[in-house]
Amino acid sequence: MNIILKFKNIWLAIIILILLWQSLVYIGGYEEALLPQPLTVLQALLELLHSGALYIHVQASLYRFIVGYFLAAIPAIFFGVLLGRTKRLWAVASPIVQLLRPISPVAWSPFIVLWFGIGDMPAIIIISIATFFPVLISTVKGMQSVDIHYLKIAENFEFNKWILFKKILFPAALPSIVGGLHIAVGTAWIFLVAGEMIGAQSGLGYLIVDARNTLDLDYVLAGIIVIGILGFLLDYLITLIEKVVKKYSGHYV
Amino acid sequence: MGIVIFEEVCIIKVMINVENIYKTFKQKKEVYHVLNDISIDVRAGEIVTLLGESGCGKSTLLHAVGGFILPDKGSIYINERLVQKPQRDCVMLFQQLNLLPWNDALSNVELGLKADKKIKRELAKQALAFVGLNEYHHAYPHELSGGMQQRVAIARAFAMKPKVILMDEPFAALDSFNRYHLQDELIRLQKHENLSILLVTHDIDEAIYLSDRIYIMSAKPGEVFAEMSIELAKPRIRTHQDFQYYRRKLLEKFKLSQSERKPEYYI
Repeated sequence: MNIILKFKNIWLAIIILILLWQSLVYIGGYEEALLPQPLTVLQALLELLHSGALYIHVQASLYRFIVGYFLAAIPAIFFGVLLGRTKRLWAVASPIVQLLRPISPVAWSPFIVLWFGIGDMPAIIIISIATFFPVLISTVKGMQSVDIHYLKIAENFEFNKWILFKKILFPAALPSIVGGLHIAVGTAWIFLVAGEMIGAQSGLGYLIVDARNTLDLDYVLAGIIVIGILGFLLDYLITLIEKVVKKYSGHYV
Repeated sequence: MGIVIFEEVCIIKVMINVENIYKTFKQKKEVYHVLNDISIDVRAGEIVTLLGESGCGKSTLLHAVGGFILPDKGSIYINERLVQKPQRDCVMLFQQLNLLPWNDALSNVELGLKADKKIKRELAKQALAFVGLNEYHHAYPHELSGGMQQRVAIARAFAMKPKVILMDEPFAALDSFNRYHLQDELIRLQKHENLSILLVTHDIDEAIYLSDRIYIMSAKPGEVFAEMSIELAKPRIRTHQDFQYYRRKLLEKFKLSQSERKPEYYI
C-alpha cells in the first residue's frame, strides 16, 4: 500500500500514457500491424517473459552496457584528472576532444565492425564512446574549478601531490565527476539500441530489429517499453548515488 | 634584525620581519604599486594589525608574509627563516572556506596535523574541546554556523603549533555578537600559547580591541602610513574612555592619510 501511495504520481502518469495510446488507436482506427494496442503489447510482453527470451535479452543488454560503461568511465576519469590539472596538456587536448565529441558513436560503426567484428563488441564499443566524453569533460571541469582557498590550504600545510589529490582535488571534483557519470548513463543507454542493431544476435536492440523483420510490431513496442523502464531504473539508481556523494561532499541536497 | 631589547629586562624575539618590500601588478599597461617600500615587524607574543580601507594592499602584504606571493624587491623573514613559499610554521586563516566541506570537524582539524592516526584524533579532540566544540566532532561545515566554522579553523591553526598565525579579515563575515565572542576567544588562545598574530582588518574597533600594535596603511601606492601602539590591558572594554581615545586618534590618522590625496569630486 505504501509503495502505491509513494509512487502515485508515477502510476498516474502511466495510466494517462496508456489511455492516450488506447484512444489514439481508437480515434485513428489504426490496424494492429501499424500501431498495436496496449493489450496486445502487454500480451507480447508476457509471452516474452514466459518464454524466458526477455530475460536473455535484458541480460545481454545489461552486460554490454555495464562493460562498455566502465570500460570508458574509468579511463575517462583518469585522463580527466590528468588533463584537468595540467593546463598545457588540456590546451592541446581540448580541441581534439571538442572535435571528436559531437560525432555520433554510431558513425564509427563501419570501423567498429571492421576492427572488432560482430557479437558483443560493437555495442560495447559504441556504449564506451557515448560514455567517455561526458565523463571526461565533467572530470576536467571539476578538477579545474577547485576553489583557490582549498589549494592555498594545501600549500600552507605543505601537502605532497598525492595528499593534495586524495584530500582536496578528488573530493572537490567528485560531485562534478558523478554528474558526468549521470549524464553518461543517459546517453550510453540511448546508444545501446543502436549498438545492438549492428551485428548482435541478442539484446533489446536485436529484439526490436528481429521483431521488425518478422513484422511483429507488438514485440517491437514491448522491446521499446522494456528499454524505457530499464533506462528509468538506471537513472534512478545513479540519482541515488549522486545524492549520497553530494551529501558527503558537503553540498546541500 | 632579529632581536629587540625591550625595557632592558627581557629580550623579545622578532617573529615576523618585513624589510623594504615592493610589489607591483600590471593590468592593461597600467602599473599598480600595491606594496611600496613596506617594512613591518611582529614580535613574539604580539598581536599586530594591518588596518586600512579596501585596496590599500593589506591583504597582499599578508599573502606575501605567508609566502603565497613573492615580493618584487625586499625580503621577509619568519623566525629568521627567509620566506619563499607557504610553510606549516606560519598558518593562514581566511575570512571563509577554511574548512573542507567534505570533511567533518574532527577530520578538518586533523588535516593540519602530522602524527600517528590515534594521536591525531586525540589532538584534534583536544583542539575542538579548547574552542568549546566538544559536541560537534562529526558535524560537517555546512551544519555549523559561520562563527563555529571559524572556531574550528582557529582550533586547527593553534593545534598545528605554528610560530605565527596570519588572519585575513577572519571575523568580517560574522554578525557582531559572534564577532565579539570570537575576538575574546582569540585573545584567550593567543595568551595561552603566547603566539604571534598578524591580522588584517578594516574594522577599527576590532583593531583596537585585539592589537598590541597597529599599522595603518594607505592606498595608491600601498604604504604604511602610521604605526600606533595600544597601551591598554586586555581584556579591553569597548565602552571605556581610553578605548574611545584610541578610536578618535585612529580616525584622525585616517583623515590625514586621505588628505594627501586629491578628492575625486567636489560637492
